[in-house]
Amino acid sequence: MHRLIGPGGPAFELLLWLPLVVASAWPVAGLWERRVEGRHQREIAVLQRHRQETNLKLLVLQAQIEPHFLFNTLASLRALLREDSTRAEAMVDALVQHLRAVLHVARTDSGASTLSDQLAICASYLEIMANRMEGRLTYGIDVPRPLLETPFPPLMLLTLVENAVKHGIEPRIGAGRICIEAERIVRTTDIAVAVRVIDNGVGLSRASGHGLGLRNVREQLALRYGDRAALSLVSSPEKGTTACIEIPLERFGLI
Amino acid sequence: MNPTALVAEDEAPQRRELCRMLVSRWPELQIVAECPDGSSAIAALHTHRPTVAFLDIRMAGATGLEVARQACNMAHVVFTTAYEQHAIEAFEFDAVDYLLKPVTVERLDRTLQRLRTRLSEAPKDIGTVLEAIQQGFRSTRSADIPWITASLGNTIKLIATEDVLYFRADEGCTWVVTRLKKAIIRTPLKELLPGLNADVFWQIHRSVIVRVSAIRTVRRNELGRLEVTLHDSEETLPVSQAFQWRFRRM
Repeated sequence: MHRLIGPGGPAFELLLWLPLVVASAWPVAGLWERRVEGRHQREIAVLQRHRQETNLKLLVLQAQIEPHFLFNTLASLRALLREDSTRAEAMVDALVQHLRAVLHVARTDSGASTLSDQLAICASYLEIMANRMEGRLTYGIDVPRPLLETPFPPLMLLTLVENAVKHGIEPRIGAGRICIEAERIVRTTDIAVAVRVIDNGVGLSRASGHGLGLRNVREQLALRYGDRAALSLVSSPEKGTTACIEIPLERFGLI
Repeated sequence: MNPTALVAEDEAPQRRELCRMLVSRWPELQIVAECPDGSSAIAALHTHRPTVAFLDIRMAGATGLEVARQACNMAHVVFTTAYEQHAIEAFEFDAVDYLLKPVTVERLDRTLQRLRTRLSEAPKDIGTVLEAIQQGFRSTRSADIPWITASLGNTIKLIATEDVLYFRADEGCTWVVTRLKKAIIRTPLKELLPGLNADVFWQIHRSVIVRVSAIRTVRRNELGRLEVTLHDSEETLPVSQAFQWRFRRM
């Protein structure tokens, strides 16, 4: 010990340097720590993104072919086979198209879907329902051509159309109509596409059990667009319901 | 006298198909009414007094279950359903007759066989089963209402319960307040309360239910009364004596 602090010894020199070395290493250590922290944050961000994607997939999966829809469609087909084979054939085609589109969404990455894809899914569904309900349901789709290739998340529109049939037209005595319309709208901070499903059915009531499908749509919109997308429903008893999805456009460079 | 039947089914092709199958599998059975909805089925039931009623569960006007409540003292009821799992389990348990759609000839034959042997007996009383099934339908609906229906003039708007900051009763109506808007509903607080998640919404005053996570501070005002301030809103809400215990631990 004594020898170490003796003047002139190399060990002494080293000791003199030590605080300096440590002091100069501090910022380096801090930098290193910050780098680790940065890496952690990036990892957390990646994990969060994964979680968000998983949640989205789950939500899309939940919006699946309803057994009720499938069995009733088959029951109608059974009837049509005997009565009118041409109509039966058209219905099989529509059902195949519908199943393919919906099952395809469930199995693949749903990021690339367009409004035109989603309208096709709704059209095959409405075609089947119109055949099943025979004159009690008519439908129209009126969307400006330039909007057709707008990216649009999968199966949300179908949920709104299914609701319009189930809670609007089916409970209505007599015939009803469903229209799908879309327009480009200018909002205060950006530009959006608004897609509306309009029915002239019985209107909303407390007991109509709209809950799950709509909640699913809302959650998907929130996960994908935060508060820049919106789902709204307006209804007049015995006159009908309009459901509207608004999605920001300009993030896709489609202003 | 030949047995008679009523067929209620809201989808025309399916209705015709069931009638066709009945005619071919039970030629003596006379179909006296083919109804496209529940209301006309109830009317036809009283006019024709059929021996058997084939009732689809989901129909406009009145559901098959509602029609059956009126029918079960006069007619033997057979339900038809594509997929009402909950009802099917109840039917199985209580030996209520039902047909799964699409209806197959084998299954129809079995059901018709059973019906033939029972024609001389009084129709089975299925009131209790029906009540239980309808209870089941109701309970799946009312739990944690995700949407509030609010009237704005002549129209109704759905407000997601998740967006609601608070409900405030005011002269016979209830204000529903979200971050972005206010709307009036007619449902009184005490009817709303059972449908709300008790961990998410607290009643803090006779006239106020508030989202717990929306509360920013709890303080005493100049008059010494307890009140809460909110995130995302300028409002302060009163806390009444009866509900102050909620904040003891805060």
